[in-house]
Amino acid sequence: MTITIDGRSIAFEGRPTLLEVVAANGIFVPSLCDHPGLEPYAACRLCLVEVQGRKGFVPACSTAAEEGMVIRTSTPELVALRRGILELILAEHPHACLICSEKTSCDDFKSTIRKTGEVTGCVLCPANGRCQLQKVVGAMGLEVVPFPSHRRPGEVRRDDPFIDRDNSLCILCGRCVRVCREVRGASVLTFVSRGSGTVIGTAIDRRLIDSGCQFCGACVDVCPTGSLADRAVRYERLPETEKKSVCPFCGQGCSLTVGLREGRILGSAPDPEGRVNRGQACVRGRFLVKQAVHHPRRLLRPLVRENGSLRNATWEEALALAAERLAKFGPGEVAVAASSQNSCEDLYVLHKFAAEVLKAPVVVGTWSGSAAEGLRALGRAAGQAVSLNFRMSDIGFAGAILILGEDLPRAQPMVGLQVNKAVARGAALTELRIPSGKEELFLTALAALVPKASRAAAPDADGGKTFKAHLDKADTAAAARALSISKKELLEVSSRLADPKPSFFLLGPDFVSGVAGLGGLAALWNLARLVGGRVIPLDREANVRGGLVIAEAFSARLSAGPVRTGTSGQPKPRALYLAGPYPKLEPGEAEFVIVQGSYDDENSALADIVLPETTSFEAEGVLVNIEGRAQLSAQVLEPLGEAKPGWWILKSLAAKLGATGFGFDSAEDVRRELAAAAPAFGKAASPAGLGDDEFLAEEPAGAGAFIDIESVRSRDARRPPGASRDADDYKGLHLARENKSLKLVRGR
Amino acid sequence: MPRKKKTGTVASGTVFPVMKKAAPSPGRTAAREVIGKYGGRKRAVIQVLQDLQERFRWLSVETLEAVALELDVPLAHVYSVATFYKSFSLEPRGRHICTVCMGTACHVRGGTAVLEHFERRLGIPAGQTSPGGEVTLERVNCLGACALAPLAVVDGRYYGQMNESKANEVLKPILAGRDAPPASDKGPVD
Repeated sequence: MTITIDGRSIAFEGRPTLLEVVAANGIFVPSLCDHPGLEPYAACRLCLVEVQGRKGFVPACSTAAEEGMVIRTSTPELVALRRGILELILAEHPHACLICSEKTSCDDFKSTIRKTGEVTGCVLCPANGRCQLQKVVGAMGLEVVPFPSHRRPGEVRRDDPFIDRDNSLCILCGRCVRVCREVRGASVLTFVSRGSGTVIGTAIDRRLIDSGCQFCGACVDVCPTGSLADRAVRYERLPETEKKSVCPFCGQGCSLTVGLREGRILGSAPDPEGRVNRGQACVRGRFLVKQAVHHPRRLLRPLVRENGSLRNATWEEALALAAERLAKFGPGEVAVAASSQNSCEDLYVLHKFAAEVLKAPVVVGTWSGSAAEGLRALGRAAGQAVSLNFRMSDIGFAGAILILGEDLPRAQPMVGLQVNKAVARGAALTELRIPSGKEELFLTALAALVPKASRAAAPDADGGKTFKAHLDKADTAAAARALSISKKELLEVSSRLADPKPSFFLLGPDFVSGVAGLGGLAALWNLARLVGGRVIPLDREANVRGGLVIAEAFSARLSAGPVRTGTSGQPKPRALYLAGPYPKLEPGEAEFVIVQGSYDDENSALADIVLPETTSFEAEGVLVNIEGRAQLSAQVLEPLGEAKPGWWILKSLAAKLGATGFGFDSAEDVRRELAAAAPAFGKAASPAGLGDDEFLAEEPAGAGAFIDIESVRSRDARRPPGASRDADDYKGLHLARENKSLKLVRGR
Repeated sequence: MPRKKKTGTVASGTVFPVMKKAAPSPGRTAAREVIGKYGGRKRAVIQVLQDLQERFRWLSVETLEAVALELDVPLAHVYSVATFYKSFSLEPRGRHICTVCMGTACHVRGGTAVLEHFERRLGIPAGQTSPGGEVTLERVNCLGACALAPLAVVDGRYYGQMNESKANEVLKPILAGRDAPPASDKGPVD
């Protein structure tokens, strides 16, 4: 299809708005209220254009392009009209700097006087240099504002964590209100009052923190002016460079754009093109990256214990000492533990080191006890393949959603956005807090109450018949009594699960690591199978899926022996190598302890040798998110102090111990070997093949069969106890404890 | 179509089986009654607020919160509506309400003098409530009954061609602490 814009014939596809067509073809039409992630709104009226055959002028942002339209974007009349509108907007916005004849030379002299409470001009404004109003004025070349200047009322509100609100800079474009409602489903911000008294505010003018705000920062990111500002960077200058990376704080793997200046992180913001997050983030990824990376508790030099206390050492010294001490232990005497927050490269080299150099019995990792591992174990116990990969966006089209054992807004905010979408489209949402120990009873009761029609539709094959027979025996009235809810409520949830649109069962780590066990999981699996739904594993660490695949690849090569945390009768290992903060050490737990970590914590304080590891932002590495999506998290800054990537530390230690086969020179080298060792990585791990939509390879699983609950329950004992990880814990740095603002948010 | 059962969004985080057990309060009960009258439709926010204001004379924070909860709409939305329309009061109002019109027609025919007279007689400036909560004096920009200018409304009853002696007459029962004559012919509501 084609339209004519200013005499040029332009082709377009689909149903774009005029503004989108215009922007895609490099024609300048100013706009302040339109935003790619939001529905058209047409509040600012700056994008007015002329459409032949239509009366008056139409806003390009809310007019769909149609075949054969003839558009004019810059007639003298339009230019004058837009200028008039902009002048009116500026009459209520501090504009002295915007129309100042000295503005080009001003930045050189006034770059540091922003530390003022009240913004009276661009040089004092937190948005200076990234303000869209400033850009529009620049492009339209305004030199005077003929109206008397009016300052919008209200003080700068600084009584919330993270975000400052300055009403005097607001142009009422409504982007913040819309993103809060449309995208985040929070509806914290709204228009208050009307006419010239309209302001952006909250219900009852409460603080954001008292209005249910999650502090995701979406409003700050869409604000075209400095009205909503990230307090931590408002007095900083602009970043020199921006680099993209993957957020390591949880399992969702949002893409972030990290701003850097003089080798330090200034701030971070969600990447609008991020596959997972599409321009959204949460409080951690949006506001806490800088603090986590440049935290005073970072371990920046190797430490060795001398006369009972730790002292600084060189890498050479620390590695030599570590090698000398480790060499004294025989096979099976050193146990290795790892955290799923490490990259695939780090975990691969760690496993290889454990298997080939230390000959360790097992690598214990936080992937054990995860939701993904629980499902995997269930599949193994039942002898069938279980697919773990999914696409988050599918959840947005669910007919019914059941949340088990996870706090979505806090721990899985991107999944939460999809759930909001589904609910907005009419999905039934139920969040279950099942009394512990009654999971199986509850889920079986739900399955027994599924309407007859959908029950009949489920196949009799694949164990369906046995399961249905099992359901006939279920006493739902007793179950309802045991759970102290009415049978009617159970029935209601149950009938909604049988929605023709797919049901999603969001399985959180709390459900798995609780006492639910395989019996509860099997009951969940069968319920999902009965209603044609899917069980989605949600985990909290950045690389649980990666850790799981690597651990599986090595399961045969490690001489599975006693587990460190083993109870009575099992010998304790004599030495420990901990890559990460897991598990928590007790004093005197082993003769010799090496901790490889990024933060000074309780474990590093008890270690004999501490090897400082980079955070995810200082080293390249693959992280596999909860979807099974392998993403390359790029290095955004040089390692701080003497910190090194995990794989480097281990290969250097291996070299000191005289091992061969650890000649890695880069993360890319490690990935090449990883791809060969763990075929699930396939292209995902090969240096050239990492596209931006790469998933772990899985065995084809299909819908799977019903699982016999009795037979899997007996296998429970073999599973190691799981550890449910705190969503705010990054490599031993507890963000909510370390950051006053996050503490306020979490402490509500 | 299957009945839409939405127990709450993730952001507000409510839920089953911890069903919403309403804390009994006059606001909650009244809100539920009024919302029932409009069939629980979310679009009925304005009507619901109007009815509740009629009942309580003003909209307290508790009332707004009860409406949001019962109607299952964000509190911010309810607040936005309540602050948008001038006829909603978020401040306590007196048992009697006097409204003096300051529209163009009333202004031309001496509305200002009428308002000043009301202020003098009641001892409160426009926009305020007497300390005992007895009476609220309001000014509005037009009541749409310009033929009656200058116009005043006392407890829902319209008094046209207002002047000082008429005002004294109308205010007498209020000032005497008695009830104003019952509202018989309610005029148009803006």
